[in-house]
Amino acid sequence: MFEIIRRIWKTGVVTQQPLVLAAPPRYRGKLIIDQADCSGCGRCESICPTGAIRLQPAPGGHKTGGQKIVVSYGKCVFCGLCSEVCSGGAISQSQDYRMATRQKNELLQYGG
Amino acid sequence: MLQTAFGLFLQTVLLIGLAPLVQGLVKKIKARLQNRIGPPLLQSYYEIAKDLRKQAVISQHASWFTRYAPYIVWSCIVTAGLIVPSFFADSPLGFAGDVLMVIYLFGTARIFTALAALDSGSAFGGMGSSREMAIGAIIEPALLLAVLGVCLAGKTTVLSQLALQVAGQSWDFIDPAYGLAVLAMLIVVMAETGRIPVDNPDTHLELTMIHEAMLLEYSGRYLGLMMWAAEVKQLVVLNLFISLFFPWGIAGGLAEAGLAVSLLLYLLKLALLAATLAVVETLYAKVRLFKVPPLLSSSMALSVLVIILRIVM
Amino acid sequence: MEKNRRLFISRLKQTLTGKYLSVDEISEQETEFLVWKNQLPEVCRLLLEQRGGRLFTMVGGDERSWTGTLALYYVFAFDKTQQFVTVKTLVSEEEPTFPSLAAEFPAFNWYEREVKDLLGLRPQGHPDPRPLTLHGDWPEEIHPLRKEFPADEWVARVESREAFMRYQGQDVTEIPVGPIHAGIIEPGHFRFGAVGDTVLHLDARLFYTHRGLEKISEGQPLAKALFIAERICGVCALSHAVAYAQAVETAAATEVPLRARYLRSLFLEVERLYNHIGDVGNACAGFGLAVGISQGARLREQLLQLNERVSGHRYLRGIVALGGMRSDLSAAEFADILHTLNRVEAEFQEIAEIILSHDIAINRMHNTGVLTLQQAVDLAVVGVAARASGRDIDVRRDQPYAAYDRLKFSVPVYPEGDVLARIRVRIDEVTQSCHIVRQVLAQIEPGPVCCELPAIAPHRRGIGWVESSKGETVHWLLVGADEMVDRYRVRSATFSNWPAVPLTVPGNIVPDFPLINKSFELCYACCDR
Repeated sequence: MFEIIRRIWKTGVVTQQPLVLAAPPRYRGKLIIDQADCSGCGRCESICPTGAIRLQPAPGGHKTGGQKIVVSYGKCVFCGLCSEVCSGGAISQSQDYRMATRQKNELLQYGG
Repeated sequence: MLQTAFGLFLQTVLLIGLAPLVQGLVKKIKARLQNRIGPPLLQSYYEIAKDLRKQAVISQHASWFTRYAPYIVWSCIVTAGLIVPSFFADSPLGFAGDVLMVIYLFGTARIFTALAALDSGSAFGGMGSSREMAIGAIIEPALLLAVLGVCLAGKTTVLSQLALQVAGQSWDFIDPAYGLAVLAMLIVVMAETGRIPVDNPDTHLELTMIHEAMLLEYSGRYLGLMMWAAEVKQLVVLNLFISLFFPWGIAGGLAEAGLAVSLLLYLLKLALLAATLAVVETLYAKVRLFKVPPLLSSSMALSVLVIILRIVM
Repeated sequence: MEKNRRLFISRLKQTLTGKYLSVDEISEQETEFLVWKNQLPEVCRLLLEQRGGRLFTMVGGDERSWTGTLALYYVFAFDKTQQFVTVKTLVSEEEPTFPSLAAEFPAFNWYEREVKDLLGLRPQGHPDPRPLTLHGDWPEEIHPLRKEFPADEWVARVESREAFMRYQGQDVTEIPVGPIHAGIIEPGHFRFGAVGDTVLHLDARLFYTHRGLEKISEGQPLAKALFIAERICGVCALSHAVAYAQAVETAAATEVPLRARYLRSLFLEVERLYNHIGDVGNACAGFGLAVGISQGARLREQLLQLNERVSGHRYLRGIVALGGMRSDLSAAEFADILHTLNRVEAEFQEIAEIILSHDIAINRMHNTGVLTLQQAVDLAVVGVAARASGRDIDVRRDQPYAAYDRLKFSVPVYPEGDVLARIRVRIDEVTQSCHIVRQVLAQIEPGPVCCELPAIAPHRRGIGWVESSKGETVHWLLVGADEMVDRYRVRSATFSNWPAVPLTVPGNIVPDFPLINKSFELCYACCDR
């Protein structure tokens, strides 16, 4: 009985304040896409386990041969494989985890 | 006459207004004892307000009974609350009945809740009501016996007179019989308010529920009324506890001096009791359902002891 | 080792003389006997009763494209010699039946019913003809694991042909519970036959979360199917990922680098820790001991945050690769693990002490939901539930994988089989897991954490197994052409243990069921796949 009270007393209040904190460095969150560094090799597209990442034909003379990276967060499982295989460093992972949207089309991220 | 009407109004407002706060306070203390911040103190008000605004969805198998029962239950509980003194001894409906009246109003509310739970024919309703009635059959005599111990000392069953008598006595009123009676009553309070170790108000495990199982078919304003009634009942039981065992400082009537002090003392006592409930709930676990009758019998045994002591001494 | 193996196989051949068609060595640990369909019961009986094997998993497959028939694989584990024996039999499309063993060995019950639902192979003489995996409203003649059934097909439901046990007698109440519950938990439907509050009989219907994961992984490249394996279950994601990776590595006959094996053991133990600690706390919700619930949840959260810091994912997803691990840990991260673990372990001991010395808690757990040793053996119950009923099995010790052959630990066993015993097993295993993690941290040496897998020829097979926090999880994999998955069968611990839960309830009271259920702590998604 006294152990219970002692335990409660020693623990104090543990509700995290503030509730939203930055994620640790290893956390795999939203992708950062730097279209300028993309070589258009398509490795990200082929390794993606869910088909969330695509190379889409886009107008404009890039060195990528007129392709643009598109990520759908409706499908992404944040495995981080695309950023690992990217040869030119066009895709990297951020620790941003607050991605809720009200619109389905806002789940698409285009390389810019 | 005017004063009675005013008292009636005041006590009604006090009961239905304060009950959610007491509930919120118990929840807050419990949350702190679970190392959480917990919901805001006023959460219960928000919930009742939300439920009362909402449209109710009622099972298509339910009859008119399901729709009327919440009003009946709510009225029974509030009426019982008007008989029990709060911070002034001269309770507004004190002339209409004594402590037995309170117990039977509780019983009426219990029966209507149980019948309404059976009405829609859901399995949980049946389960909850059968458990509630089985346990209720033991809670009622336990409550009666616990109160009787005090009544014997005061030689009356009228609550306002009892409260004034106890309050008027000096400290030597506290004897072994008094201690036993407090303990017996505390067990009954835990059972009547549907708390651990008898029932668990926070559980989501429908198979273990007693009181909550009976409300599973309710929604919207009916649910709000039922929850509100349960909170008022909790306050009434606490009022009963206070006026039977700790009425010190209680004002006789609304016209008397010291009303403000009495109110403050009353709120303080309520807060202390709420804290006691929360601590007991945290330290104990729910006993096996079939161990509830022995637990309540132990309360009865204590009460019988009190009665014997009162008669012999 | 090799000598023992030869001896074991030659003895087996002796026992089974004249009862098999051919023998095939599938991998270093697995030997396959091909038998005729009618010899199946005899061979299984001999393996189970005379040779001391135990049922590990059973798989049905559609191999019409390359052998012209459907096939059944019965895998038996022999813990003494650390060998597996697969009994394979072919079932023709024209006569899709096979002799049932469920009446004799109840452990086969669910496997046979699942094969019937998903592949349309009918077990002859099975005592329970009801559908299992696909509920009664699924058309009887459509079998999703047949190759001609497209995974994205929409199937119109028919009128349910499912029935529950009917109770006779005036005083028996039927209490249907679920699949939607008052709390936010997984879906399962339970039907109690009760007199008052005492349970006479319990029927459980699961498989509400059947997502057809085995079906959709077919035709996927091996590397991508790993992500499906990881999503079979929420709380044993890593166990499933490692089991799958091991199955692929066995099929590729590849040895994983030692450091990767140590890292796998390390993370698997952390996964067990957060589960066990959370489960012990959560069991307290069964009797409303608030301090147990809140403190258990708090410690579990600390471990989940540790997971996020060292692996990037709270539930350890995305850290395993085929051939090892995806990334290494730094010295600072090892220190973080050790520091967090020491603190959590000390606090958990204190909380376990509080729970085990609480009179009401003990009273609620003692003699509640008893699973006897006989029941546990007959149903091939695994994991915590098996060890709490006196069945001394743990694949970490009996069939070592990852780095467990280099780690010392004991396996707690309690004979009582009640809720209390299951809680005690978990509490003891927490200590052992912390012990293992400390050994890993002391023993681990620098080196590579991943290796390239060689090309895998079509029709190679592999089995991977992991002792997850619920019990042994077995992944059976048949590789198809172009390194794609041809057939993937996941037998999680919960699939073995769920049939045991309804047996433990009769004689208890209805309000004790949530507690019994929590003491097994079986997830539904793992079982349903």
